Amino acid sequence: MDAKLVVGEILDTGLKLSTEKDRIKNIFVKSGVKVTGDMKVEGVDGDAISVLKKLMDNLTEMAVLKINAKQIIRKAGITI
Amino acid sequence: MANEMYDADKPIEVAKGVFHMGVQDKSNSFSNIPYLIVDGNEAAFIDPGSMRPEFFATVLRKVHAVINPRKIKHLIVQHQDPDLCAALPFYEKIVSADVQISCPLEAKVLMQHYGTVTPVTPLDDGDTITFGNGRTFVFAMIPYCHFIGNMVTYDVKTKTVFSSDAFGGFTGANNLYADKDYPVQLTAFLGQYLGSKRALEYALKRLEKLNKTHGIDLICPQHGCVIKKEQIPVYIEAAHALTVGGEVEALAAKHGITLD
Repeated sequence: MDAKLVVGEILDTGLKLSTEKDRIKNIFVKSGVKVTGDMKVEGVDGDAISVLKKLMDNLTEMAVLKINAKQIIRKAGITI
Repeated sequence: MANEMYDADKPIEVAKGVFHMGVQDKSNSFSNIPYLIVDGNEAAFIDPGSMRPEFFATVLRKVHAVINPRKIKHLIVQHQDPDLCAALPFYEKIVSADVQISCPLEAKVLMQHYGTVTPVTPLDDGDTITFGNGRTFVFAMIPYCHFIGNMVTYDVKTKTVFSSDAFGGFTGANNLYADKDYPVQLTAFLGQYLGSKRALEYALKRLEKLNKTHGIDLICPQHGCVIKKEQIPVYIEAAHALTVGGEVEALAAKHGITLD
């Protein structure tokens, strides 16, 4: 699975773990992810792996989402 | 059909005499759910919960809404994590003077560090506690799931399994019952917090055996959502499919360590 799809899965599943949509969106946007109004990944700013690394740093403030993201990244076979 | 929601004020009776005393922590997506079981003039409190002030205040308010705390004769702790039992030193002061605190043997070693003064009764697989009017709990050890001294409690009367972390999930919603999102919530939690597939398989097969021999009508986890009878096979199957312990593989790869 490519890194952009992984970012999308982290967002989709994250929205099932937390009800704080605005907080989630802010984290993704400041990590360089373009998020649509209906909370889908439209694209990323630059290299997807770099964005994924930044996203993981920023997800630290929502530990449960980061715990979930670690599993998704592992299953995708991506090392960051 | 809309899911029933729980709030910070009212306990919810999910089975005869079984009260869900849940506290939601939206900012962390991690609910904490003690269960109070009342039968006649006696009560048991399973995994009474955190000492974090807002958690503790909510649970205590719910206890008072159901029963005089002095009628609580059993404090049952299914493993020693602080989210399950850090409040024990407080509760032992307000419950029955002859309260029995019980937990798995290996958890007892750690439980003393919460500063309780009541001697803790160690439990083993198959041990039981029976209320004065005959209601019986049976304890089933599920070691390494996620701690060596971990157990579930089976209420024979209502066929309810209090499953501790097993079948728990991460969620920021106040849903009482598992819904379409719960498989993701369960996977996010258990997939990372369980280390051993073998331990998980034992726990699941133990519960499947219990279901076959005695029946399970409800699973009440410590975190997340209650699982109704008709959903139980779905979640047992989902749990069988979990990949656990992946953090070990990831770190081994990072450090160039080969594992057999």
